[in-house]
Amino acid sequence: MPVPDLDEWRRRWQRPILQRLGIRGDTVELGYARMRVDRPEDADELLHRSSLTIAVDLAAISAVTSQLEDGVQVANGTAELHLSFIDTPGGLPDAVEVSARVANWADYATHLEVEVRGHDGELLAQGLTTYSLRPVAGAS
Amino acid sequence: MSAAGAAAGPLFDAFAIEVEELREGYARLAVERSSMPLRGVRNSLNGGVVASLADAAMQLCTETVLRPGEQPGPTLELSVSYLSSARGERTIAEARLLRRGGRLAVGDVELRDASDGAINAKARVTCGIRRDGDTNTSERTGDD
Repeated sequence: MPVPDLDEWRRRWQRPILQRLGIRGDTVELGYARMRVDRPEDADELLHRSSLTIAVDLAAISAVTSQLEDGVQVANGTAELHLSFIDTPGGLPDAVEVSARVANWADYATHLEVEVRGHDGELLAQGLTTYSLRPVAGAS
Repeated sequence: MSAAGAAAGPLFDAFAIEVEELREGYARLAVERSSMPLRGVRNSLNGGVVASLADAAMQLCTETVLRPGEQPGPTLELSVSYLSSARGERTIAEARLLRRGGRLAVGDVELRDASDGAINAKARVTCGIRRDGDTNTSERTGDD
Protein backbone atom coordinates (compact mmCIF):
# COMPACT_ATOMS: atom_id res chain seq x y z
CA MET A 1 0.00 0.00 0.00
CA PRO A 2 1.59 3.26 -1.04
CA VAL A 3 1.96 6.32 1.13
CA PRO A 4 -1.48 7.95 0.96
CA ASP A 5 -2.13 11.35 -0.51
CA LEU A 6 -1.54 13.78 2.36
CA ASP A 7 -4.80 15.70 2.00
CA GLU A 8 -6.83 12.52 1.71
CA TRP A 9 -5.08 11.06 4.76
CA ARG A 10 -5.74 14.22 6.78
CA ARG A 11 -9.41 14.08 5.86
CA ARG A 12 -9.63 10.57 7.38
CA TRP A 13 -9.09 12.08 10.81
CA GLN A 14 -11.72 14.77 10.58
CA ARG A 15 -14.42 12.64 12.19
CA PRO A 16 -16.48 14.21 14.98
CA ILE A 17 -15.07 12.05 17.77
CA LEU A 18 -11.49 12.95 16.81
CA GLN A 19 -12.41 16.63 16.63
CA ARG A 20 -13.97 16.18 20.09
CA LEU A 21 -10.63 14.79 21.32
CA GLY A 22 -8.60 17.49 19.52
CA ILE A 23 -6.81 14.97 17.26
CA ARG A 24 -5.89 15.75 13.65
CA GLY A 25 -3.52 14.29 11.12
CA ASP A 26 -0.35 16.26 10.44
CA THR A 27 1.89 14.29 8.10
CA VAL A 28 2.49 10.78 6.82
CA GLU A 29 5.51 9.39 5.02
CA LEU A 30 6.86 5.92 4.31
CA GLY A 31 6.95 4.23 7.72
CA TYR A 32 6.20 7.42 9.64
CA ALA A 33 3.16 9.41 10.74
CA ARG A 34 2.57 12.38 12.99
CA MET A 35 -0.66 13.59 14.58
CA ARG A 36 -1.38 16.80 16.45
CA VAL A 37 -3.49 17.01 19.56
CA ASP A 38 -4.91 20.30 20.81
CA ARG A 39 -6.56 20.08 24.20
CA PRO A 40 -10.28 20.86 23.98
CA GLU A 41 -11.45 23.60 26.34
CA ASP A 42 -13.24 21.20 28.67
CA ALA A 43 -10.59 18.45 28.67
CA ASP A 44 -9.17 17.38 32.00
CA GLU A 45 -5.85 15.52 32.27
CA LEU A 46 -7.49 12.11 31.87
CA LEU A 47 -9.23 13.05 28.63
CA HIS A 48 -6.15 14.81 27.24
CA ARG A 49 -3.91 11.85 28.07
CA SER A 50 -6.44 9.52 26.47
CA SER A 51 -6.40 11.68 23.35
CA LEU A 52 -2.62 11.30 23.22
CA THR A 53 -2.87 7.55 23.68
CA ILE A 54 -5.48 7.26 20.93
CA ALA A 55 -3.36 9.49 18.68
CA VAL A 56 -0.39 7.18 19.28
CA ASP A 57 -2.44 4.24 18.05
CA LEU A 58 -3.69 6.16 15.00
CA ALA A 59 -0.18 7.34 14.14
CA ALA A 60 1.10 3.78 14.46
CA ILE A 61 -1.52 2.29 12.14
CA SER A 62 -0.85 5.09 9.64
CA ALA A 63 2.89 4.42 9.70
CA VAL A 64 2.27 0.71 9.27
CA THR A 65 -0.19 1.00 6.41
CA SER A 66 2.11 3.42 4.59
CA GLN A 67 4.68 0.63 4.40
CA LEU A 68 2.47 -2.36 3.64
CA GLU A 69 3.08 -4.07 0.31
CA ASP A 70 -0.12 -4.67 -1.62
CA GLY A 71 -0.91 -8.38 -1.91
CA VAL A 72 1.76 -9.44 0.57
CA GLN A 73 0.60 -8.46 4.05
CA VAL A 74 -2.37 -6.81 5.71
CA ALA A 75 -2.53 -5.02 9.04
CA ASN A 76 -3.99 -7.26 11.71
CA GLY A 77 -4.26 -4.92 14.68
CA THR A 78 -2.28 -3.54 17.60
CA ALA A 79 -0.54 -6.29 19.57
CA GLU A 80 1.37 -4.35 22.23
CA LEU A 81 1.54 -0.76 23.43
CA HIS A 82 4.06 0.43 26.01
CA LEU A 83 4.09 4.11 26.94
CA SER A 84 6.09 5.92 29.59
CA PHE A 85 4.73 9.37 30.46
CA ILE A 86 7.03 11.95 31.98
CA ASP A 87 5.53 13.61 35.05
CA THR A 88 5.28 17.17 33.77
CA PRO A 89 4.84 19.88 36.40
CA GLY A 90 1.52 21.60 35.86
CA GLY A 91 0.18 18.85 33.63
CA LEU A 92 0.43 18.10 29.93
CA PRO A 93 0.76 21.09 27.60
CA ASP A 94 -2.27 21.99 25.53
CA ALA A 95 -0.59 21.53 22.12
CA VAL A 96 1.12 18.21 21.52
CA GLU A 97 2.69 16.26 18.64
CA VAL A 98 2.42 12.47 18.50
CA SER A 99 4.63 10.50 16.13
CA ALA A 100 5.18 6.86 15.22
CA ARG A 101 8.10 5.51 13.21
CA VAL A 102 8.61 1.95 12.00
CA ALA A 103 11.72 0.56 13.70
CA ASN A 104 11.59 -3.00 12.48
CA TRP A 105 9.55 -4.89 9.89
CA ALA A 106 9.10 -8.65 9.86
CA ASP A 107 6.71 -11.15 8.32
CA TYR A 108 4.19 -11.22 11.15
CA ALA A 109 4.84 -8.09 13.18
CA THR A 110 6.28 -4.62 12.99
CA HIS A 111 7.70 -2.61 15.88
CA LEU A 112 7.32 1.15 16.05
CA GLU A 113 8.95 3.84 18.16
CA VAL A 114 6.40 6.35 19.38
CA GLU A 115 6.94 9.77 20.88
CA VAL A 116 4.80 12.51 22.37
CA ARG A 117 6.33 15.98 22.41
CA GLY A 118 5.18 19.47 23.30
CA HIS A 119 5.12 22.25 20.72
CA ASP A 120 8.62 23.36 21.70
CA GLY A 121 9.97 19.85 21.42
CA GLU A 122 10.05 18.73 25.04
CA LEU A 123 9.57 15.01 25.48
CA LEU A 124 6.30 14.10 27.22
CA ALA A 125 6.03 10.38 26.57
CA GLN A 126 7.94 7.69 24.74
CA GLY A 127 7.31 4.09 23.98
CA LEU A 128 7.12 1.14 21.66
CA THR A 129 4.19 -0.45 19.97
CA THR A 130 3.94 -3.72 18.13
CA TYR A 131 1.55 -4.14 15.25
CA SER A 132 0.44 -7.55 14.09
CA LEU A 133 0.68 -8.34 10.35
CA ARG A 134 -0.99 -11.14 8.45
CA PRO A 135 0.23 -12.56 5.18
CA VAL A 136 -2.24 -12.39 2.34
CA ALA A 137 -3.48 -15.86 1.39
CA GLY A 138 -1.40 -17.22 -1.45
CA ALA A 139 1.39 -14.69 -1.00
CA SER A 140 4.80 -16.23 -0.56
CA MET B 1 -11.35 14.72 42.76
CA SER B 2 -13.50 11.91 44.09
CA ALA B 3 -14.09 8.72 42.16
CA ALA B 4 -17.64 9.83 41.48
CA GLY B 5 -16.34 13.17 40.25
CA ALA B 6 -13.89 11.58 37.86
CA ALA B 7 -16.62 9.28 36.59
CA ALA B 8 -18.58 12.34 35.53
CA GLY B 9 -15.60 13.70 33.61
CA PRO B 10 -15.38 14.38 29.89
CA LEU B 11 -13.65 11.10 28.96
CA PHE B 12 -16.55 9.15 30.43
CA ASP B 13 -19.00 11.32 28.52
CA ALA B 14 -17.09 11.09 25.22
CA PHE B 15 -17.06 7.27 25.23
CA ALA B 16 -20.19 6.60 27.32
CA ILE B 17 -18.11 4.80 29.95
CA GLU B 18 -20.11 3.39 32.85
CA VAL B 19 -18.70 2.84 36.33
CA GLU B 20 -20.07 -0.50 37.50
CA GLU B 21 -18.21 -0.96 40.78
CA LEU B 22 -15.73 0.85 42.98
CA ARG B 23 -14.28 -0.48 46.20
CA GLU B 24 -10.92 -0.29 47.91
CA GLY B 25 -8.28 -1.39 45.42
CA TYR B 26 -10.75 -2.27 42.70
CA ALA B 27 -12.62 -0.52 39.88
CA ARG B 28 -14.82 -1.94 37.12
CA LEU B 29 -15.90 0.05 34.08
CA ALA B 30 -18.01 -0.94 31.09
CA VAL B 31 -18.62 0.30 27.56
CA GLU B 32 -21.12 -0.68 24.90
CA ARG B 33 -19.55 -1.19 21.48
CA SER B 34 -22.67 0.12 19.78
CA SER B 35 -22.18 3.49 21.43
CA MET B 36 -18.45 3.63 20.71
CA PRO B 37 -17.69 6.35 18.14
CA LEU B 38 -14.20 5.07 17.29
CA ARG B 39 -13.60 1.54 15.99
CA GLY B 40 -10.55 -0.50 15.14
CA VAL B 41 -9.78 -3.56 13.04
CA ARG B 42 -12.85 -5.65 12.13
CA ASN B 43 -15.10 -3.14 13.86
CA SER B 44 -13.61 -3.88 17.28
CA LEU B 45 -12.85 -1.29 19.94
CA ASN B 46 -9.97 0.91 18.78
CA GLY B 47 -6.64 0.01 20.38
CA GLY B 48 -6.15 3.50 21.73
CA VAL B 49 -9.61 3.40 23.29
CA VAL B 50 -8.77 0.06 24.92
CA ALA B 51 -5.61 1.60 26.40
CA SER B 52 -7.58 4.65 27.56
CA LEU B 53 -10.14 2.42 29.27
CA ALA B 54 -7.33 0.67 31.12
CA ASP B 55 -5.88 4.04 32.10
CA ALA B 56 -9.25 5.32 33.32
CA ALA B 57 -9.98 2.14 35.28
CA MET B 58 -6.62 2.33 37.05
CA GLN B 59 -7.12 6.04 37.73
CA LEU B 60 -10.38 5.27 39.54
CA CYS B 61 -8.82 2.27 41.29
CA THR B 62 -6.06 4.53 42.61
CA GLU B 63 -8.64 7.00 43.88
CA THR B 64 -10.11 4.28 46.10
CA VAL B 65 -6.88 4.03 48.10
CA LEU B 66 -6.05 7.72 48.51
CA ARG B 67 -5.50 9.13 51.98
CA PRO B 68 -6.63 12.53 53.22
CA GLY B 69 -4.71 15.29 51.48
CA GLU B 70 -3.90 13.17 48.42
CA GLN B 71 -5.10 13.40 44.83
CA PRO B 72 -4.59 11.09 41.88
CA GLY B 73 -1.53 12.04 39.89
CA PRO B 74 -0.66 11.36 36.28
CA THR B 75 -0.28 7.94 34.76
CA LEU B 76 3.42 7.25 34.41
CA GLU B 77 3.47 3.83 32.76
CA LEU B 78 0.90 2.21 30.53
CA SER B 79 1.60 -1.20 29.04
CA VAL B 80 -1.10 -3.07 27.15
CA SER B 81 -1.07 -6.54 25.59
CA TYR B 82 -3.88 -6.91 23.08
CA LEU B 83 -4.91 -10.55 23.22
CA SER B 84 -8.01 -10.61 21.04
CA SER B 85 -10.16 -8.08 19.24
CA ALA B 86 -12.71 -6.48 21.56
CA ARG B 87 -15.78 -7.22 19.48
CA GLY B 88 -18.26 -8.09 22.22
CA GLU B 89 -21.30 -5.85 22.53
CA ARG B 90 -20.27 -4.97 26.08
CA THR B 91 -16.68 -4.79 27.31
CA ILE B 92 -15.67 -4.74 30.96
CA ALA B 93 -12.44 -3.18 32.27
CA GLU B 94 -11.42 -4.37 35.73
CA ALA B 95 -8.54 -2.72 37.58
CA ARG B 96 -6.97 -4.37 40.61
CA LEU B 97 -4.39 -2.70 42.78
CA LEU B 98 -1.14 -4.61 43.08
CA ARG B 99 0.73 -2.18 45.33
CA ARG B 100 0.16 1.27 46.73
CA GLY B 101 3.36 2.97 47.79
CA GLY B 102 3.75 6.49 49.08
CA ARG B 103 3.74 8.15 45.68
CA LEU B 104 2.89 5.42 43.20
CA ALA B 105 0.11 2.91 42.71
CA VAL B 106 0.59 -0.09 40.42
CA GLY B 107 -2.27 -2.16 39.11
CA ASP B 108 -3.36 -4.81 36.66
CA VAL B 109 -6.26 -4.13 34.33
CA GLU B 110 -8.10 -6.77 32.34
CA LEU B 111 -10.57 -6.08 29.57
CA ARG B 112 -13.07 -8.85 28.88
CA ASP B 113 -16.14 -9.54 26.81
CA ALA B 114 -19.00 -9.19 29.29
CA SER B 115 -21.02 -11.96 27.65
CA ASP B 116 -18.55 -14.84 27.93
CA GLY B 117 -15.59 -13.49 29.91
CA ALA B 118 -13.17 -13.88 26.99
CA ILE B 119 -10.11 -11.76 27.64
CA ASN B 120 -9.38 -9.00 25.13
CA ALA B 121 -6.46 -7.18 26.72
CA LYS B 122 -4.30 -7.10 29.81
CA ALA B 123 -2.61 -3.94 31.01
CA ARG B 124 -0.17 -2.92 33.72
CA VAL B 125 -0.60 0.69 34.79
CA THR B 126 1.42 2.86 37.19
CA CYS B 127 -0.29 5.98 38.54
CA GLY B 128 1.25 8.80 40.52
CA ILE B 129 -0.20 10.12 43.78
CA ARG B 130 -0.03 13.82 44.56
CA ARG B 131 -0.13 15.38 47.99
CA ASP B 132 -1.42 18.75 49.09
CA GLY B 133 1.34 21.28 48.75
CA ASP B 134 3.17 19.51 45.95
CA THR B 135 4.48 22.02 43.47
CA ASN B 136 7.09 20.37 41.28
CA THR B 137 6.02 16.82 40.69
CA SER B 138 9.09 16.06 38.58
CA GLU B 139 11.18 16.10 41.76
CA ARG B 140 9.16 13.32 43.32
CA THR B 141 10.90 10.12 42.56
CA GLY B 142 10.98 8.50 46.01
CA ASP B 143 8.50 5.99 47.35
CA ASP B 144 8.04 5.99 51.10
